[in-house]
Amino acid sequence: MEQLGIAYRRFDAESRKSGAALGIDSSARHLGKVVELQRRRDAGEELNVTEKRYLLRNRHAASNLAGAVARLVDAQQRLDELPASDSLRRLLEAPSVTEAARLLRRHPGRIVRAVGVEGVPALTVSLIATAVLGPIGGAMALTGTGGIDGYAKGLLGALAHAGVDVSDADDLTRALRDNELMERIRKDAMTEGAIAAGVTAASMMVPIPKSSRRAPLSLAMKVPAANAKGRGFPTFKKFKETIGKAPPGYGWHHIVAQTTENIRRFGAENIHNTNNLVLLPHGPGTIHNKLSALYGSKKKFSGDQIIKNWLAEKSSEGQATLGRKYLKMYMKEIR
Amino acid sequence: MNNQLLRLESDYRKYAEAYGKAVERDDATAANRMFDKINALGPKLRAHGMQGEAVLRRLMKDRSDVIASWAATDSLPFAEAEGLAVLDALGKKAGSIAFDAEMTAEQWRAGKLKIG
Repeated sequence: MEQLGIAYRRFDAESRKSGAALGIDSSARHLGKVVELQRRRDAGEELNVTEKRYLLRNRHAASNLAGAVARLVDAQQRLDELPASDSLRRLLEAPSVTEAARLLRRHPGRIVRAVGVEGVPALTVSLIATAVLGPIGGAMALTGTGGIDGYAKGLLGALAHAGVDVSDADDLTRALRDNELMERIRKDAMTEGAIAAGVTAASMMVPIPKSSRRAPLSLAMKVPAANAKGRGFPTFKKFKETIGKAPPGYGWHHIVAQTTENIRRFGAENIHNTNNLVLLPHGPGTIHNKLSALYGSKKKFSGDQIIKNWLAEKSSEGQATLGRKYLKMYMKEIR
Repeated sequence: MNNQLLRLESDYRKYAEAYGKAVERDDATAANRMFDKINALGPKLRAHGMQGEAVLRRLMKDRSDVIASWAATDSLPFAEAEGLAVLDALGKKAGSIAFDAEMTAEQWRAGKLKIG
């Protein structure tokens, strides 16, 4: 049934395409004739009644042709967008993480073939790349819905929890070939803790510019070192315009806070920097909320000051080190 | 032990527990209120000399991590090794209280922390 469904849609899209092509052909012939008659009339030649009627009937030939071209382009796009496999389409439209995971486990072969990769590990890597590219690069390789996006991030988080260095391609490849480990990873990937950890891990990786339809995997998997120079922006607004707004349920978190004083001391481009911004789940009980509460809390180790004020006196490196430490601590806590 | 010390110990436990619960629910306002209350009790206990210090040593061994962490911090001026041992052990656990213990020990060792 699923093959019939996809076949019908493909047939329909192909019919529209061939109809639009015929429309272009017809409109083009009409326009050609109209141009010819207009040229003769403009040259002072008397047109007979049939020719005059033809001109009147086809006075919109040019706009008809433009419309037919637009319909052809539209039909071609629909055909291109239609997944070759219904399993893949269902995966792309999965409404939940569980459903995305179930489809992947039930139809791995069909999905792998439809995506055009060599096997499940490659697909998994592709999903992990998707997790990296999705929210921060706007260049989702496979995703389009919350289910698959969440599952991809869950895979990334579960791999990180299992001690796999997701920034190291060799370590990752070894993990992907370990069937027992991957069996566990696929189960863990559906937990909220893994998804949240994956979101954080993904957002800490090198973002890919919006213009890249598909970024090389090697680029997507590099985790910038704490002192690495990321891509800076003059304002947070500019950062979001270029890198992307946080998806619903998430928020961008500045590791070194975007206070007026920090911007003055360290420069806007170091604050609104891909190396200083992390995408975190937002809302009660999330890391983002915990961090906000923490930065407003007094501590003995901060000399009884609230953390935010204590950090303000520190260097950019000092603030970043503690900010990263807190992120890691909360990531462990929500496991 | 006199009534005043008993009262101080009881308040210490009460405020430390309340502080821990506020931290757990990410309520910075309540946590800071409890912080001020318990932070005032350490100097009061130490002002009682050896008797007050004995109370803090006992609280350091409390089953509650948050009470132990506060008492270990307040004991650093007179029982450094003991206090640091407790903070180090707590620092190996997960969570915010453990992280605070680790940071407190780190700052104390670096000579950047004064317990007044």
